[in-house]
Amino acid sequence: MNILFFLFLITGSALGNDNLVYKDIKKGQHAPFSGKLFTNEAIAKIIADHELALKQCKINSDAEIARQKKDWEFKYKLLENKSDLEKKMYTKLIDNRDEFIKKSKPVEPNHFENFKFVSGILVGAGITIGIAYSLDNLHD
Amino acid sequence: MLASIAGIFLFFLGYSKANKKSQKQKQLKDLAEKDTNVHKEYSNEREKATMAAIIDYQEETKKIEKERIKRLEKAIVHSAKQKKELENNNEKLDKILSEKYNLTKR
Repeated sequence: MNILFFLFLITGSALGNDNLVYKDIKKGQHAPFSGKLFTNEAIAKIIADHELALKQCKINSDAEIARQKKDWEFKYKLLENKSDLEKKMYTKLIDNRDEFIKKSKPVEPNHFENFKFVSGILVGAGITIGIAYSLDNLHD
Repeated sequence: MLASIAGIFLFFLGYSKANKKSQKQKQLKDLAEKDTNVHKEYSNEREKATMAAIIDYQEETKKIEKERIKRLEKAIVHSAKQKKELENNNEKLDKILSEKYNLTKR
C-alpha cells in the first residue's frame, strides 16, 4: 500500500469539528498538520474491529434477552403446571368426598332416637320387674 | 329365661351398632386410600411435567447459545472480509470515515 492516510483525530470536543480531519498522502510527501499517521491496513483494522465489537455487543445482548425470556417462560410453565394439576387434584378429592357422602346413610330422624330411648327404659324396667318377680317366687 | 332373652336382645343391639361403626370405618378407610392415590397421582404428574419443562428449557437455552456462537463466528468472518475490502478500497474507506465517523477529508 503506497497510499497512507494521515489521520488527525482530536479526542477533546472543545477543539470543534474543524480539527476532525484526515488527508490522503503518499510516501515521502510532506504532512500538512501534526497528528498520527496510519496505513490503510491500520485504519481498516480499527474500523473493522470497532464494528465487530458493536456486533458482538448486540449478539450477546440479544442472546441474554432471549435467555431471560426463556427463564420467565420456564418459571411460568412450572407455575401453570402446578396450578392445572392442583385444580385437577382438588376436583378429584371433592368428587371422592361427594361419593363418600352419597354412600353414607342419611341421618336418622330424631323421633327414632326417642323411640330407642323409651324402649330401652321399658326393656330395662321389664327386666328389673321380671328379675324381682322371679326372686320373689324363688322360695315358693 | 327372661334374663337370657334380654341378653340376646342386648347382644343384637350391640352387634348392629358395632357393625354400623365398622362399615363407616371401612368407608372412611376407602376414602383415605382414594385420597392417597389422588395425591400420589398428583405428585407423579407434577414430576413428569416439571421434568418435561426442564428438558424443554435446557434445549431452548442450548439453541440460544448455539445461535449466539453461530452469529459471533459469522460476525468475525464478516469483519475479516470487511477489513480486507477496506484495505483495498480507498473510496469506501473515505465514505466510512466521513459518514460513520464524521471526519472531513482535506
